[in-house]
Amino acid sequence: MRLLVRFLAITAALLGIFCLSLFLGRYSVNFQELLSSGLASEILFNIRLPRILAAALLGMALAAAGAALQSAFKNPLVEPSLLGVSQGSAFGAALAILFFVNSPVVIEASSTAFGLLALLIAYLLSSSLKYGGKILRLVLAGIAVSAIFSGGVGIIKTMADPLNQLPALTFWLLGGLSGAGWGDLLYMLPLALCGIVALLLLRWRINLLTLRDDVTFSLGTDPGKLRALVVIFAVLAVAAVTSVAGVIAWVGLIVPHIARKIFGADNSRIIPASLILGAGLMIAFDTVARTLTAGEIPLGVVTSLCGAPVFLLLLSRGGES
Amino acid sequence: MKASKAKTAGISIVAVVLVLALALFVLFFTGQNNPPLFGGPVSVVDALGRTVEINLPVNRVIITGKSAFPVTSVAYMFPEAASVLYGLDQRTASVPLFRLVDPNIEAKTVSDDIGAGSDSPNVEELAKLKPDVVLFKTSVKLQVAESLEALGIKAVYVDLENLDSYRRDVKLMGRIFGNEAKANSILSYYEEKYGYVLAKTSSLPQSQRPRTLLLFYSTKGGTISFNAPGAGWLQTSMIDAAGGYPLSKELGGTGWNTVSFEQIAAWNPEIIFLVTYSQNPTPSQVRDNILSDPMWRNLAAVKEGRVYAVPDDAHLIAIGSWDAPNSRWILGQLWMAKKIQPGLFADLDLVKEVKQFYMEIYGLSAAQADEILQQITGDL
Repeated sequence: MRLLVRFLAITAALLGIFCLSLFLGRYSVNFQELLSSGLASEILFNIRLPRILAAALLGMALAAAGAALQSAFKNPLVEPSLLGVSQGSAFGAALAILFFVNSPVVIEASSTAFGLLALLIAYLLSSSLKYGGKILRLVLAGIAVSAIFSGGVGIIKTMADPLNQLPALTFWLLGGLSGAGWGDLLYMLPLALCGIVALLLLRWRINLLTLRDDVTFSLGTDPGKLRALVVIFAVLAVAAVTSVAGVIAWVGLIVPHIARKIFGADNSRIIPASLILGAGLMIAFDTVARTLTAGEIPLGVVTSLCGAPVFLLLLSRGGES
Repeated sequence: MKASKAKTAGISIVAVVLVLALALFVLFFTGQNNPPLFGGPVSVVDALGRTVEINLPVNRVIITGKSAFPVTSVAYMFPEAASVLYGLDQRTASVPLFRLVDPNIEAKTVSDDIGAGSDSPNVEELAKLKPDVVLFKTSVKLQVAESLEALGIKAVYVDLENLDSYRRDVKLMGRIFGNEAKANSILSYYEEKYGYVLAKTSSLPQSQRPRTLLLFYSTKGGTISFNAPGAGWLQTSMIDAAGGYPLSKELGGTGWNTVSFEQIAAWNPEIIFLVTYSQNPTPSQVRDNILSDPMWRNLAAVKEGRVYAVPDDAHLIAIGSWDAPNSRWILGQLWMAKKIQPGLFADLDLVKEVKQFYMEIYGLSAAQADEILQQITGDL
């Protein structure tokens, strides 16, 4: 019963943030204006609404993936970038910016493809490592793959045309939703939704991954296969949103922690809670990014700036979780 | 007696010659702030306040590194540049204006390895080309110049970001190219045109200054974005001088700031200037899109049809656009004045001014100036 109240409370908070964000912006819109001015309704429905929905989807994907991966790797410090996915996506986008400057579709597709490729390499690499347990191997391989791709991004940065490509690359790497419209939302929706729904359906079984692998096995589940499944769906969701929004840090890390504070350690509750909290938090961050100054602040800067202190606060008040 | 007379005469001739030589020597080496008549060292103070000793005449000059285009565009105003500049990159060599000023430009290109566009060009690659002097824009790192100096290659920084730095840097380049007369005539042209615009606009109260916004439309990074220049940038002060109210001056600092459509709508500009620094799309294409877009239709500038593509004479990234700090910003200044305050500048014949600029400043023939005129894109 208390859990239900808490769920209702965070859902109400999400709806509140959603409505508030819809009416916050550089161009002031009120109800009267909405009826009389075509511009106000254009801004509301074609600029703000798709962007807020994109932010919600971005937050949901990152938070759900973060929660699932933290359980899958039995490590509360895991976030989606751990397996090299974010850096792989960044490399794919950078490559596309270097060679197909003006094609958003190519950039997004290349980013998704390289994000998945990074995961594949990390996975194949982990099985050939002769060190530590299965999980540690995957983490090590992820770190190595991440480093290789971020080195690749560095090389592309030095090759990029400083007048033309470098600013685009820098802004992309900092992440953001400026200019995200209905088209971008539709682009990331299928893959992201596929990943999110799958994680939601797997939420009961993800709990099994937090047990020791031999215990999980004795309960009739192959932990290796289940872990692979969870990781693939998490990465799918992350790669899809990263291809549009760029590299956004911290949200995937802190939201599951907040969810655990409120709902305890059960993944069947943490995954849905992370979805709601992630959406709300990301809408709030993006609202700050687009309204605080006349120029856009990169969203990745806002999430790092706000996310890191929240993380410290969570840890310093920790103990119960 | 006769012999001694001849001897005295001889001595006095030798003495006179010696005194003259000494005088010339003193002229050469003590008056370091005056350029030597026939050659020798001269010391110049560059845009970073560094004092650099340069041996005149210079025969091999390279301009490279980040934001080199404005520097190259000013260098080619000097007739000497065509014979001393080399080591250019392909993109610079493809600018129509430079090709007319320097017909052999193609033979002077090298690969981009020496650091075109980079804030830290490769010192060894530069040294291989054995230049006397390398000219950098202030966006190149100081360590590069220091390493070059250690190799005995002189490096000089110029800035050219506003009229004040134009005054200093054009003079500086005049001394390096050994043509201060040309430097003075370039500067008096810029002063005259800028003064002409300011005389008509400087006393305008804010109520008579149309709210003006310059937008850099970019499709890079996978999203369409509009970017506006900050308070400290040339474009902002150009709009101000042209008798407009530069809306984006509330954005701090220099550089491009991404602004949302919402912010643009909140500003509701009466005049919009467009640049893309690209061929795909061109500013004119973006203007057409904006004029036919239902969302933009509600803005004052679109309602009044005052959306203009900034002229460009090179169709390349920021090399030829008249809003950027290359030599043509003065044409952009005149053009903006005419678009923002058409009443005040009704007598301004832009085509004539543009032609005069190419002929007077770059020494083109009337036919060549017409050739450039015809290649200008945008809403001249």
